[in-house]
Amino acid sequence: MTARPGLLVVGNGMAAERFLDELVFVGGAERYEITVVGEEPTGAYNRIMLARVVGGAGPDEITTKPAGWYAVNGIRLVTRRWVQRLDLARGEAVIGDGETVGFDRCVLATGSSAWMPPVAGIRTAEGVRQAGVHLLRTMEDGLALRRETDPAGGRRRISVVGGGLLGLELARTFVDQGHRVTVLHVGDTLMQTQLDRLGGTVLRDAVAAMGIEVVFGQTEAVLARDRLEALRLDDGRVVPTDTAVFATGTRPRIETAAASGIEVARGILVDDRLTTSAPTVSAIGECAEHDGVTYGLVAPCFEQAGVLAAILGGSDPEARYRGSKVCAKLKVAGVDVASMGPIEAVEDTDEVVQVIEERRGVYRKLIIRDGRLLGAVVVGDGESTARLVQLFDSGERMPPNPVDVLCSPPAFARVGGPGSAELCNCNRVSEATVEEAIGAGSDTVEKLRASTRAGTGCGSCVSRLVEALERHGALSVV
Amino acid sequence: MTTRTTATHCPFCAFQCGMLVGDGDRVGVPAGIVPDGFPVNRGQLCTKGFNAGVLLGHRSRLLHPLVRGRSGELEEASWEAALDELAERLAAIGAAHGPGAVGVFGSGALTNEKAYLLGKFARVALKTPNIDYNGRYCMASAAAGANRAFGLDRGLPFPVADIGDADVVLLWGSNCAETMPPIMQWFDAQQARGGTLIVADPRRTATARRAGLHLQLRPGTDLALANGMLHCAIAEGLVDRDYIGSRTSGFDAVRRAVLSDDPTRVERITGVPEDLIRRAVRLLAGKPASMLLSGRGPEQQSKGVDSVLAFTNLMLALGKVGRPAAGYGCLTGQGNGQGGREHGQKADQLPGYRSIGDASDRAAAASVWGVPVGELPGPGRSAYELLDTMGLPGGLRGLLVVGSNVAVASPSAGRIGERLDALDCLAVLDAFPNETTERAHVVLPTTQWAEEEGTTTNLEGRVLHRRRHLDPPEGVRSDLEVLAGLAERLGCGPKFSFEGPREVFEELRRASRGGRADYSGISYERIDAEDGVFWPCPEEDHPGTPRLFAERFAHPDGRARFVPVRHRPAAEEPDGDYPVIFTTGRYREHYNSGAQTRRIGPLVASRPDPRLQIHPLLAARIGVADDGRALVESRRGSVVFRADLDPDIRPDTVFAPFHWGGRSAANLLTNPALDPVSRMPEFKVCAVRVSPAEGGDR
Repeated sequence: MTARPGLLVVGNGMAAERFLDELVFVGGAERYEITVVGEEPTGAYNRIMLARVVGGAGPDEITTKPAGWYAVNGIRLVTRRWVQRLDLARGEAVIGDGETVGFDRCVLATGSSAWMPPVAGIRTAEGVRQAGVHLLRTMEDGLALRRETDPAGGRRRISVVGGGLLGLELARTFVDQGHRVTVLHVGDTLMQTQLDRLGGTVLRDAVAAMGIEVVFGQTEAVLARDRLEALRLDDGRVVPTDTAVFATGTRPRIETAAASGIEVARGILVDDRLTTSAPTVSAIGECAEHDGVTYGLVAPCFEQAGVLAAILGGSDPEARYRGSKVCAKLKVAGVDVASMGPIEAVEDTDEVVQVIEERRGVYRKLIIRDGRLLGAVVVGDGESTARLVQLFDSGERMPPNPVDVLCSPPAFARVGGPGSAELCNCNRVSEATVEEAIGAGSDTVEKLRASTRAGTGCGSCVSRLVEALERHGALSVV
Repeated sequence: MTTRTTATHCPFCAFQCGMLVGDGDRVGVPAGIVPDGFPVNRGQLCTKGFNAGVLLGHRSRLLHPLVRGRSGELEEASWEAALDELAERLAAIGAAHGPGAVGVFGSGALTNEKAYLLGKFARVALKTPNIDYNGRYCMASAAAGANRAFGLDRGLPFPVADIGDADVVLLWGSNCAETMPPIMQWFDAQQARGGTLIVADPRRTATARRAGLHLQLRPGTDLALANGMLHCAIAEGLVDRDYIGSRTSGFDAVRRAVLSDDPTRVERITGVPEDLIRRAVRLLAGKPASMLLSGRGPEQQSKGVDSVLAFTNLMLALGKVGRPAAGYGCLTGQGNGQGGREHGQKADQLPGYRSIGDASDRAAAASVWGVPVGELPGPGRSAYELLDTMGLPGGLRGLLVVGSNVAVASPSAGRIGERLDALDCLAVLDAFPNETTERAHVVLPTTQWAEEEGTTTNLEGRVLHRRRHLDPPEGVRSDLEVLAGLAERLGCGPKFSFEGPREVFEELRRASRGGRADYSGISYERIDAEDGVFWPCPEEDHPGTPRLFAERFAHPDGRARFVPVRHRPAAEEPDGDYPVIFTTGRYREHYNSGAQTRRIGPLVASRPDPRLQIHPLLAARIGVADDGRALVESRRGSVVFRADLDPDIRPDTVFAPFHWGGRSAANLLTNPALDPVSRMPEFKVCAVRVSPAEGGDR
């Protein structure tokens, strides 16, 4: 038996996990000798559920692939290690402290790292992060945050720096635990990547209504003696703080690729096959840059993982990745927020439809190009999002009056069922037939059932037979 | 109403309503029908059942064997000549190409006795592995799913009356208000008691209109929706840990697998709002007696088995299966869709739900049949794959079809029509001419329903007695007699020589003894005395088994199994060329390929033609008017339908019924992509384009 080609996967986050899952599903895992290198101590977990760990869930609750999964599928998992550089010429990589692994094919799924703004005092003189200052990217981050904010330790003043998807979700988690929460956000629009100004305003009101204070401004300094005491904004305001979490965005991790001589820009550059400038190396997930775009949401990572698994697994060698349509959703205090595609008109010919209900706290905006849904913003309406996202994904044409897509289904539903003159749907007996039978002497439900068959199928129209009998003043003994 | 009535059961769907057949009260109709108080339909009957008597003595009935002569036309022949001709042709094909070149295609409409004997005929008389049946198009996914999860496949693991006692019922992809209307009394009873009905269906059907909550999902996304519900149940702590620990295995893998199916992702895939996903699962989990019942919607997909497993995963995690008035069941479609899948007309199966690949199962069947076990063929090809090889090298050269209109019922029907024409010999046993007999070389007219007796097994697993009310017309024979006549000519007459159905049933009892579907304790007398008997019933003094799984599941360790399953797209998703989803289903007036119901005047008057159900928004965009003609095209064929503009369907989907043949056959459009396990074709999802048909609106 000839040796199987070596497949090295660098990173064990959600993109890598999905890729391996897809590869196993299409039966491609047996084709390779697979090694997965991950920095974290365990198997893969669902990173978008990390806030649950902060809320008290155990790591296993969000673990998608325990170590046993890799073993069962013949995949070698190397934890707590990293690959700094690929030796492309030799097809080798050094894993952590000295072991060399050969590969014929490498998948970089190095993900992204949390980005911290330059804030004075964030690190101590020794260069370590100030006690009380947190990030949330890894399981370890989640557990550390949990230890500090466990409600058993009392109510804390928590500042979340960054009012984006992650920041608001964390803020909600902390409020649910009974803490006092402030969100500090640069600019004047929460979730400014996903919402326009109006949408941000509606969201801010909803966030405030659940007891989260929102402060707009640039966080300039961490004030601490032994540990964190407050955050200071650039206008001099001071927010007393026991725990601060910086949820200020992420940056693709491109160092390994760059050190290996692979072309990078913001992310690792890939083509439609998700191949990098090195023909034996692919990149997927948040580290990859396709057609000038890097993605920070999980759905595009899954799509890339699926395409790459189809190609490498052999189930569809012609599969290609053509970019993803981006949709973000969040629920804060029962307020649904959804954003898909561009949030403003891009070209002069783009049509914008806005429906604003200030009192109700509902805001809906559609961006339409050539009769198709290009983008949308929805705040405060959980129901129409499901339809909008499907229109957005499918590229289906919008109706002539685009506002129609915002209607709840009952707005279009038929009234009175199929032909309300039909009384018994099972046996298609009309009201007229029933009336006639009553006139001819069928004066009980039983007689009507016998003479017309109405009410003998599913029985749901028996009450209407009774009504008809009553209308005629006939005896209605069932 | 008449002096002489016979209590029997309806010839159509798996609900098998009890009915009284009397002498006719209308000219040309020899039988009048009223419902009886059988504990399943309790005095109700749908329009199909009421009108079933029209089939008896119908003027288009086949009354003579037909053989295609030198002229190329079907000509009347004597029984002796027709049977001689057919036996000779089949034997010649077997001799020239091997016994596997002759195939048999059965039906979920056949009685247990016929289904049993047909399976035996294929294996013992024809010695071919290639027998399958139209239940492959119907129940195969639910069967495979239930077998994997519970170790046993019986459509409903409880009597239908339990529906009335359920607190919450989630009816998934079944439009039973139209397909089996008398079942609705049980849902009505359930709701009258304060219970909640939830319906998951891409259309706001007559059934969905009666639900408290309707999940109007995109076709082909059932699996994702069920996984999303399980995700929410786990996240909200709604699963039953004690039950999972004591009665199941494999939960951990499923729990991890559905971590990715968060409601946001699932909403995007299914189009069902997150809030409704949560509401539905909270309802199911919130009461002790909750059940999920599935129909063909989620099952007739290329991931049908996995969709069913997503349902069993959900209901097992909630701790419902085996509890009173709770659990998972499927609503079987065809009249004997249950019994028809238990006694050996499936490619991989022997009587008593035994496996043809299992050595001890093979030995059991061989000993009852009195043949060396080594002579029993192995598993054959599944329905579509069997038909798809007709006339091709290594494929079938001859086919015996019993009670199925394969030319209409198969996916990509245009292709199947071509393949049927490529056979050296196509023989059909049926009571009426249809699109398949038109292509046959030999047509053998058989008895129907009230002209013969036999047993069927309804959707509950209750074995019923269909009784004979009147004599068959002269010139027709029962399927059992036809098989005996052919067997005799093929040299194994004694093994097929039976006095009648009762004697066949006696052999079926023996053959099923010790199998999963054990009928050995069931007799005609007991069925008559007890309003039917539920299998398994291993002894004559065994009461039968109305409720399964209360204490243990049928796997050797007694535990139910969780199986991780994942969403994937349909085999053919809409794209720029074919941008609309096409799905199929039934009308309340018609049954299967319509070969019988399209001959019943009142049903035809009520539903004369297939209509395309299309949302007004989609119709307006395309320019199709209400009652206008719409051309529907897929990669496999095209059909012109009249359009019903109807807001009860999703704007991305169109629907048409599959009861018509010829140029109106919905299955000219459907996709023969198969489920990898059940080999079920993907009838419920394919991509089409719709445009106004040439020739204007009217």
